[in-house]
Amino acid sequence: MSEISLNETLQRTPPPQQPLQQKSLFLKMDASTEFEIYREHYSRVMASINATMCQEQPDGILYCPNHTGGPVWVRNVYPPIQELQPKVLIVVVVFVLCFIVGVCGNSSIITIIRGVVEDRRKRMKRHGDNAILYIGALCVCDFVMSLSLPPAILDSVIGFWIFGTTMCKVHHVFGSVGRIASTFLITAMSFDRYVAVCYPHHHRLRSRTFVISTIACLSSIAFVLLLPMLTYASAKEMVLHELKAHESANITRVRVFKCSDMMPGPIFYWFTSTTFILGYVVPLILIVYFNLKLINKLYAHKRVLPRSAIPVRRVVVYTVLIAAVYFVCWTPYWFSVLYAIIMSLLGKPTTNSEWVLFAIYCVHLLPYFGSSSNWILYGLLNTQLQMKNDIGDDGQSIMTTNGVQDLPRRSTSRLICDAGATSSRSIPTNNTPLWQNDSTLTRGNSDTSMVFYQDTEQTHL
Amino acid sequence: MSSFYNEAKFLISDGEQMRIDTYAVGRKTMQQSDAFKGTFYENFTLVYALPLSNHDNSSLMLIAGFYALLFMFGTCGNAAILAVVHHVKGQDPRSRHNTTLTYICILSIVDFLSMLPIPMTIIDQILGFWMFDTFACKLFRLLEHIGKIFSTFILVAFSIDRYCAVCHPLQVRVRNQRTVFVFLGIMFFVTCVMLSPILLYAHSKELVMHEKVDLDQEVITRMHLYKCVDDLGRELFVVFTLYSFVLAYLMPLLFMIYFYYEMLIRLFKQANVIKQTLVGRRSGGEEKKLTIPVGHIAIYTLAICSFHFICWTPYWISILYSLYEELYQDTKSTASPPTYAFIYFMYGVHALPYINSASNFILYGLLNRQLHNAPERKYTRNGVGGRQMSHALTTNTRPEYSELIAIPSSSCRPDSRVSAMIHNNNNNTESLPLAQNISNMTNKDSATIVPMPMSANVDGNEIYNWITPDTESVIL
Repeated sequence: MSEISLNETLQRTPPPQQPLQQKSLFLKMDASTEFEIYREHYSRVMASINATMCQEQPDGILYCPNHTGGPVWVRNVYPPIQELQPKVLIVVVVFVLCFIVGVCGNSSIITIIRGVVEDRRKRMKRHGDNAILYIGALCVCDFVMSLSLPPAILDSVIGFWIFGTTMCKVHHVFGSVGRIASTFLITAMSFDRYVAVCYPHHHRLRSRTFVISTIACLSSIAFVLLLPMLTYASAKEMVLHELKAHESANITRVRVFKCSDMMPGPIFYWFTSTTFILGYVVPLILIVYFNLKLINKLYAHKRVLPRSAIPVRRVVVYTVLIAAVYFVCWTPYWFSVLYAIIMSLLGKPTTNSEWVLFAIYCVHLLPYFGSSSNWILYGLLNTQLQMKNDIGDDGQSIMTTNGVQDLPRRSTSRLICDAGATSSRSIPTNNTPLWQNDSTLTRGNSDTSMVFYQDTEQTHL
Repeated sequence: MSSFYNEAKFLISDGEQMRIDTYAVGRKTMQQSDAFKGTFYENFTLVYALPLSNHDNSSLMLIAGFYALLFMFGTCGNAAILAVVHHVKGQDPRSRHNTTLTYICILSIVDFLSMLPIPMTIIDQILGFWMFDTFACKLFRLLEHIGKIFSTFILVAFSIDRYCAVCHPLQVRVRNQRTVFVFLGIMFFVTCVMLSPILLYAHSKELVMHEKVDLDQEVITRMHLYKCVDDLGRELFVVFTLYSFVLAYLMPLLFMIYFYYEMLIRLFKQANVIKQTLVGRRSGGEEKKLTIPVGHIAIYTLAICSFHFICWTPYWISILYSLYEELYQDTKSTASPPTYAFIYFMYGVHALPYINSASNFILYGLLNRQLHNAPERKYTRNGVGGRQMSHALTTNTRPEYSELIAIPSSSCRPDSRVSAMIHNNNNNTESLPLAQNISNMTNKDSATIVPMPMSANVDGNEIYNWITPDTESVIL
């Protein structure tokens, strides 16, 4: 090789940071688009060695006897690590925060839900709100999605994939769970809330069997939709340079790996289409529909009973917040994916603007942000986790009140034995049962409104 | 031209471990250095490069994976315990003033913070060098050492809390919330003072590992890397290590052993006294229900001390060994590089403190029955309220109070039994009146003077004085 050619090749080394980031941004692009990107920055002409024909030596060097011009010994190395750019550092910090908040928050909610369910079982209360099962399943899905963040973080820090094909498949499947299963569960929760408010007498649609069946069915659909990713994802080797020492049979091969879906064109388009329609469009329509119906029903109820205790404004704010967070986290992501696909279909080159690439990178952070904060919307702010305990406390206080009702007579009889040291304590005790009795009588006005009131109350979040 | 991708083997020392790795030198920056002005190399181009990461080493990847699992386990576990404690405090108002739960909360927070530097440790292991800056280095060292010192202090305070609950149940002032927070504040201040040398001197240090001169191309290639080092002086390092060992390991261990030993001795005495009291009065079945589960408490306490010892002793032995090496390094002129087995052993030893931080929530949180008693207590209260207050049910729920009821049987009518029980229940929730306190002290003195009589006239206050709610809260 001539020195001029080597000089030109070496001078192209500084830019690799940008296409590496660019590649990780468009994980869903096909091979032709990859070629479009890499062609501008790397010389593929030198990639003349067919690595599959080589034998690996004990010391890691490959021996390729069939190479043109005689046998050669090839050493595979990785490129040197680049220092973190400020923009990459910002993205990494956000990734780490999403990971910690998502993992710890979801595990905390799962622990509390497990405690609540056990507490409910001890009290022999089989008839209760089963929406808590949806919340538990959602926390599990978001937890799994958060697990795909550490490889993404290291991919950004190091600049290439270092974990192999198996971890590549796991990373892609975990990362895609949030796009399908998590979205399905959010939609199912909207349906559950809608039925609770608009059709409170349809108990079968909110039974434990129905909820568990729905979760199992949605999980199966999500798994089927993710099968192409599980099948085709692999760590692809990209050769950056091949350097041949002067007058020697030794070749140093600088290469990296990238974790890519590697789907063929038709399967990739089918996968993206089904994921976009079933994982984004349909859930969005259903969420908006169910929540609008719910809000209309509550307003109608408010008009009929102006003094109703249902906090309509709070329910409306909460419902709108759910739909808005879903829209904000997923719409920019899907728009960027569709933009990349359309560009690749039309054969036009993608933008090389550094700021546009950074913006696209931030857009791809949004699903992880939504995944790591779902437990706040559906778990922490959900008053059902506390209301269950409040209802339990009320029940226990009623029972205690019934017990206290027997105390005045015993206290009176105790006065005969003692010098009346506790006479001042029995007077407040006498007042409490009457107040409790009054509230109990108020609650028992009519059976019909009681049923509606209780079912609606459980949806107040 | 291939000189830009040369490979070389270097012996890397990062203060605690030795590592032999192969590096490929690549182009990073080009600059004119003033250091060579006036010399032969004045017109040479200076090229800096970072080394290649050592992620091809599968053993290091396994270690990094283990650290990652440790991080996941520690952060999720401590966060879950915090959620459960918050949940329990929300349900049961009485538990809001429980000092044990306060210690568990603070311990979980500190252990959670000590887990946060693990990702930086993992990246440092995978890349082989520190790629963050000095501020991150100081933060990394601070969080790393807080878990080693402040967490240990909290464990000692926890043992003192239990010792006071069992041996001095009437000294309420020692175990209220304000005292707890003052105590924690003092310990935090001591921790910061102990760690101040680390905060001052820790920085990201540049090390030039390899330098090559190419005369034809007039290029000087330097392969450099950064390490997060403490960089204490020799004397300061010795002093820091020694007082950290004494204050953060030796004294806490001795304190824990002492306080838990005293607590167990007291519990054994109480259990024996109760057994003797019940021999001539009750059948064997009911006797077991009333006995304090001393065996259970003993096993739990031994598990705590043993776990602490196992996690920290190898670590501190390795620290003292490196201190010894530091002191007598001059006498060993030819030190052979350590073997890979030794390196991985040191990795394991230094992981033990992280295992301790990641697992504290199991010993102190998960196995603590107080977190589980809250729902059961509600259920028990519900049961009491749901049924009629028969004598048998009362005996089953509160065995120790049935003993109190049986004593004044001849002075009042049968209805007075229930009122006597209610009276003692009131004493549970409220502080004892002054007259009651004086009478209790008087009974204590009489008990010490005259041995416990084995007759039907056993004073109920003596039993009540031993089986206090505070003692009950320690029965895990």
